[in-house]
Amino acid sequence: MLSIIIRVFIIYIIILFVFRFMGKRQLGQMQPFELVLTLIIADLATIPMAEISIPVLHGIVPVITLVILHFFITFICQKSNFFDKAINGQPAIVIDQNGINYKVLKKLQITIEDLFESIRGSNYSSLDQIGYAIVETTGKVSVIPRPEYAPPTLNDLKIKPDKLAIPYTIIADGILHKENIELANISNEFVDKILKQENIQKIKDVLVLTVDNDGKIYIQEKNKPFKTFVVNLKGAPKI
Amino acid sequence: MKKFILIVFILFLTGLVVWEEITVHTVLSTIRDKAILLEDRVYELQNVDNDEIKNAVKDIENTWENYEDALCFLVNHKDIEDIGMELSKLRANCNVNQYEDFCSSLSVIIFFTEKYSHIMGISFQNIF
Repeated sequence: MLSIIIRVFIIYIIILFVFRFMGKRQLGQMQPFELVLTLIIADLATIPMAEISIPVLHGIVPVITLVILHFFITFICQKSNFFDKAINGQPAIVIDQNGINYKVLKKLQITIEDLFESIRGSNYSSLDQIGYAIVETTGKVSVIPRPEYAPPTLNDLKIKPDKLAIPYTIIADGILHKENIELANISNEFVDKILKQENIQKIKDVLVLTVDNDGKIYIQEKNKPFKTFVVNLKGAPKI
Repeated sequence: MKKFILIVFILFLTGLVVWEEITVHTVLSTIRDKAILLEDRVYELQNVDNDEIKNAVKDIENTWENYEDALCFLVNHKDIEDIGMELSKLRANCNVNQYEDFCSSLSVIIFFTEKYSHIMGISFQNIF
């Protein structure tokens, strides 16, 4: 039994590493060959986990071989457009200015109902609102509305946008993220000052503390309501 | 970094393949050669209850024990457990002078050592 536990640990760590190494992608964003690869790896990993007579290497070797193959195929796809189309396919326009392209729809084996579902998922209710609908290589349908149905942008409304500000997570669940302190261009002393001002004794009492480029602070102590205020990032809080 | 890890993976697989080829081939061919020699000698003597045969059996057992752990890293344990089983029968048959059973176990050992190389070795048939 102990052997199985140790084997599961080893294989789990390897699979975790392999998936991290292959990159972050959600199931729906995967290319067909990536999905196949994921399913095969999952299947391969379980064989030596439970079957103690099979060496762990018999599970690890095919997984590593698949990873190498994956990078090889990705590399070729990046270099060759032809190969990329052959492996990943290419986006197909299913709705254009003339309406639904039935020929393409049939070729992709998508029903009208599937198409409607995707359109509704993009917050459009009627076909006449759609300028183009494109089935991407991942199978996702991208919907481009007709100009008259497109949501207005700030530019259309001639509104000057606020400065773009990214909130950096300085403390999350009582843990100080030092790398984000540097990114936010603040110091440890600054964080201490904020905590002192909010009467918080220890970092571990903070559920979340974020700071954005404009000096907007969002702070919430554990089991207490949140607070927001703006500070001068170089000096003391304004409010 | 990714390129470095990929190179490490490729080197790891290459090293593993070479290690497997050398280890499995060496162990199985050593056992097979010793078993064939023993088989010839047993056919000559027509008797298995003597020190020469017992020493030869012990030698094969020692060789197997020395390499068995390394084999377990590379080979499905079920594929090699028959060899270990027949080796243990050799000693028992030697002690009770069971000539036919001894020869039978030796034949099984020779068969399995040859069969494994044939089934698991790199060949066109095994790949497809």
